[in-house]
Amino acid sequence: MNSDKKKLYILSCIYAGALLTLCCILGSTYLKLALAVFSAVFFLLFNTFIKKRSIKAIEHRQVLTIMTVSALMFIGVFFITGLKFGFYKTTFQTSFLWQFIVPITITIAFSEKIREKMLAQQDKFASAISYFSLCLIDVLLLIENNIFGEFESFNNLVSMVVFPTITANILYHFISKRYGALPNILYKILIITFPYLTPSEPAVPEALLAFAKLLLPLILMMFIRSLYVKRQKKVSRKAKAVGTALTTITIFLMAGIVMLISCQFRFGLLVIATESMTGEINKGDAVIYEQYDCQIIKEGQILVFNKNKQKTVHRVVDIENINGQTRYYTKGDANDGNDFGYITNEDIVGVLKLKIKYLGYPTILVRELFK
Amino acid sequence: MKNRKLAIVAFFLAAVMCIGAGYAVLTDILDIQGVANVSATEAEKVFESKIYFTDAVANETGNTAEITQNNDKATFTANTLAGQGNKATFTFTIKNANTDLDANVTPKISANTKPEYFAVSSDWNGATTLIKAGEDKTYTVTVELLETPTETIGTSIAIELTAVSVEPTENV
Repeated sequence: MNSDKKKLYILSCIYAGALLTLCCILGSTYLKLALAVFSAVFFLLFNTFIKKRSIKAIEHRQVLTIMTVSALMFIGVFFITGLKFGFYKTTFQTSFLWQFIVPITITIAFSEKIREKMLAQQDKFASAISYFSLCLIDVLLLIENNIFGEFESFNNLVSMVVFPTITANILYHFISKRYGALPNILYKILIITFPYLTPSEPAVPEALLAFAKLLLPLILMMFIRSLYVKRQKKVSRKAKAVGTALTTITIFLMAGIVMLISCQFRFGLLVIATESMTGEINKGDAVIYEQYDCQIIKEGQILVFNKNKQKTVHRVVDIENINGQTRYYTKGDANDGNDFGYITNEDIVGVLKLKIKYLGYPTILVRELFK
Repeated sequence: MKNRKLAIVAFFLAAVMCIGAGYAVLTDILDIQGVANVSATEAEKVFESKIYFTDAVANETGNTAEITQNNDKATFTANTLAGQGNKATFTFTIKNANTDLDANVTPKISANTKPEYFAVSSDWNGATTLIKAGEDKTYTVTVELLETPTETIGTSIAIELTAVSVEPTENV
């Protein structure tokens, strides 16, 4: 192993190790500042000890434009969704500029330059270390406090931060290797800092946002790849057709899962966490319902409705029309008596269409771990 | 290259499944319904028709209690029991409107269908209490959640009221 490789490996290991040590101050208000200082110091070290290798890319200006425009489009679409889902106020303060924006910008700039330098060495070990380290930096930049106390915080960490960071860094690695650090720097600064600059944010359902954050980097990578990366081998028509079919199926599957999980579209999916309908629908089953749109409800139908601010799936056992108001009396099949009171059209969420046995067990098991 | 593509696709599908499992909406409900009945034989109907509920109160915000038609039923609902150790208390008042007969009243709590989840206690502890003619008496029922539920819990708690007239005591 020559001395350049040795320096590269030693510095890479120190970089990753020091970054892991920074995780000890997780939750500290100085974490982002510490990351900025850490990134600047290691950028100087890498510049001093590692040889510079240039990256030749003809289309780097086009890619820079694509990445910047994509980030702006994501932010634009994100805010447009507020027209459907509404907005909520954020804790915006002018001090965020020095507290968050500046340290985050410094961290992003230096860490991406380090990634560029490590990838330019064309060494698999350095590439792996840079991927791991930059993923960790992105997670630390996005993480919030109290992540392990409750299921919702932990789920948000994994779904909104960790998984999207992994796919985003696949994109950043791809871009950095071919076109340098600048497209990544601009893209990341826009995507990560914009929440600190706005006094309100769209109340997009978290499931939708998590899927969008997971998907966007991969779509962008596939788009840039299709434009500028020449195929190494010729692909047969059959292989192309199979590839297209698989991609189409995956897209439809993804769209279906997003639609069902978010419960914001015509059909929604619920996990049954109760035993009140045992026999017909057991605990751990999942049900698909169609949104209520003034359909005629009959006795014996199974409804999804809101009761005590929670979703309930029970059967209609009686319907009465009193003073022009339609009242539905409901009961769980396995319960001794009817549900207390009655529900009206306003309480109905949807009508049961399909049940899928056992599909909900992973959700129930994960939530029970936190109880 | 092909292996890397397969790894990315596999990770992507696993991430979609995990996100789906994490954000899937659960059904859940917790509801308690209490019913107090006054029951009587034919012979004691007149006497017992003058023993009825005058008030039913849920002592915690979010819970409800009410007296239904003819004042012969009191219903209460606890909506705030969410975790182990949570309690809900309900107070109800029984009046003996008989003008000349005292009543020995024995409220009996029965038919707690989920004793592993709920503990029901009272301040009269099953004892018979005397309500003098024309007077009323207030009772308190406490429901405690013994175990944090992970499922829909429904239980009917019935309170049966037995009233027996008391022979008036002659003052000498």
